[in-house]
Amino acid sequence: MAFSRAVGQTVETEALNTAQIDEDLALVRSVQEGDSRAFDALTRKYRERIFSIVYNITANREDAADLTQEAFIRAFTSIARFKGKSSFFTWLYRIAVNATLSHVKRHRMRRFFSFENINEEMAPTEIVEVLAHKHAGDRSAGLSELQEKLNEALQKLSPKHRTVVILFEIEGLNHQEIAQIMKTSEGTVRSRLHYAKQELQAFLQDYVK
Amino acid sequence: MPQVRKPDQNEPAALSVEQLLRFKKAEQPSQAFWDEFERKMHQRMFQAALERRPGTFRRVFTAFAHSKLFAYATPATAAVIVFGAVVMSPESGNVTAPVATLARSVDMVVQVKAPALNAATASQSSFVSDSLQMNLDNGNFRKVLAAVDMPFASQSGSTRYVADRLGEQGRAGGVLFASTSF
Repeated sequence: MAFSRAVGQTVETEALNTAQIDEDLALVRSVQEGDSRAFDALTRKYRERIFSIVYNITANREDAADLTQEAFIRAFTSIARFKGKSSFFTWLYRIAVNATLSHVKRHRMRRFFSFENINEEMAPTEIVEVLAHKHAGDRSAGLSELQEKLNEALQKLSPKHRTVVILFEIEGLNHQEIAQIMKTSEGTVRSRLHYAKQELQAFLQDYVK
Repeated sequence: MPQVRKPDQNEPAALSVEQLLRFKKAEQPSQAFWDEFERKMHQRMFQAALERRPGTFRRVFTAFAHSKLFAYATPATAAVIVFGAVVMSPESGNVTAPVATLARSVDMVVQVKAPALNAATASQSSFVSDSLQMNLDNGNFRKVLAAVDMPFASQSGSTRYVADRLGEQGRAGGVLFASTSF
């Protein structure tokens, strides 16, 4: 199922991706020629996505804000070396993921959670229904508990397994894109994804089938 | 005989791992978070741009960045204002890089009055670094000045931006606000 989704997704979004890649490349060229406003445009375009990845890997909103800024600054200071061999977003995601994994490795003995606010309107309906039943209608308590359990479960995975499952299931990237970002093979991505979901299934057994 | 729990007719179906993970998308920062993010981002990018510059400029900025004044700087602190003049020296049809000269010693904030500049010429100038160096040499300032809401040119740090903004004024006596509060 994951494979067919990945293939389908690639076909459906190919045209969109091409337009996006061209648009990004034009902005990158402008930055390289000295137009700083073009970099502001790139930052605004990708900051939510980069923050989401970093936050979900670290489970700490302050660290995530700091690392997201760091990723953009690294991209800015080395943009002259960007030759367009990969798409800008793959390059940027790679910078962010590498910086975050280094941070996690450096601070593996010091782990503090700091959760982001839940936008209740964004919570999927099927989840809200299950939680309402489980918590006798106290929706907020149910959502907070699920947030905590989910973050705890993700943190039990190794950083690399966590990153793959976040990029695939939350960010919606396909196997090929994840392999490029993590500089590994698609086979490794699939294998890590399969293992990570098995682990999550076990950690979250109170909620899953 | 063990009791077997009867399934609850009203109980909704259990969830899959994939469904649960989609809930993570509901964790979203507020607009206030992004406003603060952008402010800090510009601050750090300015610092990164300066760190790429050699010599005095970097040392002075680093000293400033670690001072307590920096930590407490807000737009409201942009109160100490000194007027300077931009000196342009045409020589054989060429315009040299303009230099802002401060009237007296200042700590925090500088407002520079500039005549209209030709944008193309100004963009090639080293306005900021030259101005800082000159005023540092004659003891006219003790802190580095920086522009409000400053986006940054990729290759030339703050210089290009400031020069371009001066050029954009397009009229004599255009004013550039420079503030430590970013």
